[in-house]
Amino acid sequence: MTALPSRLRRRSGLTAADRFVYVLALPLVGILLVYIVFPMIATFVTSTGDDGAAYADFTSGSSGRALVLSVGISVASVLTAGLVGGALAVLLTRFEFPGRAALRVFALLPMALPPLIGAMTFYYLYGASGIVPRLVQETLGIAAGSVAADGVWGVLLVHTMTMYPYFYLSVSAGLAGSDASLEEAAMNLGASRATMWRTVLLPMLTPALVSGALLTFMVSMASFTAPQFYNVNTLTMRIVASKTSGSYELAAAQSTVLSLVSILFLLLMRWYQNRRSTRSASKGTPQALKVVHGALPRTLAAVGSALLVVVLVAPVATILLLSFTVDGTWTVQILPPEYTLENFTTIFTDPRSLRPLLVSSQMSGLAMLASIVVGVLTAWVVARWKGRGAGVLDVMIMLPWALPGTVVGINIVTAFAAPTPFNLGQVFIGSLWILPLAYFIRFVPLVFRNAAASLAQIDPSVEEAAQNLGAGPWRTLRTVTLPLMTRGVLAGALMAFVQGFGEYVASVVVYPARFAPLSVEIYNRQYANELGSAFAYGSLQMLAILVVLIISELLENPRWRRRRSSASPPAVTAVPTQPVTV
Amino acid sequence: MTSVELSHVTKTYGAAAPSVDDLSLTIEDGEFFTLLGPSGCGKSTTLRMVAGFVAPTSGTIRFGERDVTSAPPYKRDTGMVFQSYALFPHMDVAENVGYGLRMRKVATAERRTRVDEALAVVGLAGYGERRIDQLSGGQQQRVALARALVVQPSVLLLDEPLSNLDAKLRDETRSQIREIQRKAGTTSIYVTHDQAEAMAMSDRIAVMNGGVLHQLGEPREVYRRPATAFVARFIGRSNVLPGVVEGRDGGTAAVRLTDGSLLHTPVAVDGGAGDVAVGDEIALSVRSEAVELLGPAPAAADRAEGTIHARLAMVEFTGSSCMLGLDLLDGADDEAAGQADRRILITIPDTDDLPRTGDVVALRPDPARIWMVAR
Ligand SMILES: Nc1ncnc2c1ncn2[C@@H]1O[C@H](COP(=O)(O)OP(=O)(O)OP(=O)(O)O)[C@@H](O)[C@H]1O
Ligand SMILES: [Mg+2]
Repeated sequence: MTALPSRLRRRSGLTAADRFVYVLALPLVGILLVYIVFPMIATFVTSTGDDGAAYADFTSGSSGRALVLSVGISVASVLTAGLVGGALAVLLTRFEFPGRAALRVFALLPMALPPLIGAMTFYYLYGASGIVPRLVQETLGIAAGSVAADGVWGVLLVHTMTMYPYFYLSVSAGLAGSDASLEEAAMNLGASRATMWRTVLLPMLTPALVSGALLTFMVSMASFTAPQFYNVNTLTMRIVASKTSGSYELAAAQSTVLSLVSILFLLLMRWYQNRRSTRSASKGTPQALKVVHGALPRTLAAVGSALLVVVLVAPVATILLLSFTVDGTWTVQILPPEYTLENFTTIFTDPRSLRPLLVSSQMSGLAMLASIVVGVLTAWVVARWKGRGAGVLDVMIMLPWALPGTVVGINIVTAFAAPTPFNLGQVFIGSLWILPLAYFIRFVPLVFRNAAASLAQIDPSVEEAAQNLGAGPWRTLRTVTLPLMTRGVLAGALMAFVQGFGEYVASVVVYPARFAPLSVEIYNRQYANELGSAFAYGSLQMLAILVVLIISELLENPRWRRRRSSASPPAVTAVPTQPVTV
Repeated sequence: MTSVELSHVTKTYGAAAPSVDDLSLTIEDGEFFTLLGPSGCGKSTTLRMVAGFVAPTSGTIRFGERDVTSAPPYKRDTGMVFQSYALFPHMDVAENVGYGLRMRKVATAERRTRVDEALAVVGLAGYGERRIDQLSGGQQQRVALARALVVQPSVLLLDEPLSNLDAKLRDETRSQIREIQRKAGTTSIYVTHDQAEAMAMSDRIAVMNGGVLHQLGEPREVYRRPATAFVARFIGRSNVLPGVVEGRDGGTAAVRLTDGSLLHTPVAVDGGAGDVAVGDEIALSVRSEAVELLGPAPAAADRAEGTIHARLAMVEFTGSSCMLGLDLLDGADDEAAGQADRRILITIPDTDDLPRTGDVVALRPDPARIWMVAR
């Protein structure tokens, strides 16, 4: 590096490290602008075409009703998921009863459900022609239709069963961090158990409940698969319908409205979590579990736990069971009558059946590689950039996390339909590249988050030590920083990979006809009444998720990672890394 | 091996007052030089500017003839030992020590011998394959030292390398560092806020406060002839007593203290507080161990020149010696003024016949060891 004229350098006051950050930031900002920000703007611009006719349509047509329905379902989902998740958390962190251990293991099982297949399973379990209603009709003589979860109820059921972990996790963490002596003090001062809950515990759990609620609301608003299965006209459904019928302006207007709601919630969540972290609670003292006594309560608890475990395991069991069904044989019976291994052997022997697996794994693999490069470098730049730019970059890369998959799909379709200076002349419609692009946009925040978290664990003077010993900026990144980030990044990248592998919501908007990804193939098979094949794909997907979850678990707490004692919280949006597609 | 020259170096972060303010100093070839000062005085900032991690807002830094002000850290050929050690947690001890050699493209075989040598020098022969988290704090510190030394840097930079060690290990390691440095003859800049450490190790010390250089000199000089009241208080245990110059006689000045006593003090001809004139308001630095306890004080009117009367307020037994805290008396009568800044501390050998608290005693500061500083 040639020395700058010293007068110039003095005014800038930049070190070589600062300059390297800028050099690196430039292409990253470019990429994020072209692939994340510009597509959003393109959608907005399209929506305002024709003097905002689309918005007139929006308010007068069915979109307004769809928006109200989406908000209603989301609010209801927050309540039901909050009730289930919160109750489960309290039960499992505060009480000792028979069956507790088993419940703890299975409480997080819904997180292993692939999005599309998950929604399908609930349909075949609790829907009008599902296993449970038929069983009820057979044994109790009550009409299946009257006990089935259909329509809005079906959507709500899926949301509750797949989103309660958001509450379960945050409330468990909140309870574990709370101080048992506070409760004892309250009861000691004469508060009844109920009063104690109202005056002491609930206020303490507010942050956990608010986080869970905001997250659940966002994910519910973005939900597409469940409404599609139960044919409920939410805003996401209207967007896809508008796009399919060729009303691009209306689809863009609907997308814009949904984006605004989602981004509002992302900002709300950031604001709330930042505020919360400034007044962190005191360290909790370990607390004794309340043991449930008495023969009757213990029996009830055991039976209840067993039932709950059955309910939690049922979807997974159903996926496995249905994957062995002979296509087209399950009609009016409670359970499918005929089973075969052929669904699986066909997938691996018939090239046509193998193709969706290959398409999805290759597209998702490509997206994962791009996400690693962009996510890791952006995390590094955000961590080392001392100026305002860091926050802007952080928001830019986290935006897609807030956007519903449907909207991401619409954005891509709008932005890359024809060559313009903004998309650098790239056209992706009908191209195979559109899938990896969609997966990249959707899941780069996940890799970024994980990379940023592992970066926050690294003592910055380690990088300085490398430079001091003669390593240039790239060398330092390659030999010190990146190796130290590997585990965290790998966990995030694998998670991104399985999500891309099963991605449905954006895929269904953008996929090129000749290259149906796995999820679309599953939907088509299901539609063609080839249930066994569809669920065989689904169980492979579930297997992939399980493997990744296990690897991630193993990658946690590497033995050589040293925690900085005074680690400041990373300047990064605090969001959970759970799946965000429903 | 090279000299290091800072000229008019200033570093300002944002709108705050400068962290380092117009600092000029030269570190000689092979010298062990210490930056000493309280927390936040800009020592680390200065060191990091020398290393290249912080760019000065203005001023230049030279290594010998070479202007390195805008050179990146990896082209400065300094070896730095960080306070947190900053060892690479994913490499073993030998890989850590060999990292700088690898960056310098030293062949594997030579690298191995030099790493082994360096480890032997710091007393860690045979530890090459240990993981970093299998080492104690002291051992990690020595790995960091070996890693910095093995590349034979032209300047060795140490930022409070001992602050994470316990007292005993600190003393051991400090003489070790000094010995290794002396053998290698590497120009070294050492940062610490521990004045005893600075005294024991350094060829020269630069005392800083609030980003400003207060004094630069050999340990003895800084101790005996503090340039400012701050240096007098920060180094050793010194009483800083305000007074007014009443007379000048060649190399000495007569100074009337606020309590009315008259002390004679040498006046610097070679800098220090500089020349003074009658009527100047100055302060005297009186080391706690340079005060003699004369015994019960005579009446205030009979106070001898060169003595101070004070009332004993507290006694602290520290083993080999006693530390006494006394309150200066007001000029006229023998009443204690009772203000905090009138407390003076003296250290005397432990004896059996100490005065009792409340007694008024006469003290005689050693005239040769009184030093005049600006107020
Ligand atoms: N990156 C920075 N941004 C803003 N201010 C800074 C930065 N680094 C240091 N400062 C400020 O500069 C001043 C000097 O800091 P420096 O780290 O050099 O102190 P120090 O003498 O090493 O203190 P210590 O003994 O506590 O390490 C402090 O007031 C500090 O707050
Ligand atoms: Mg410091």
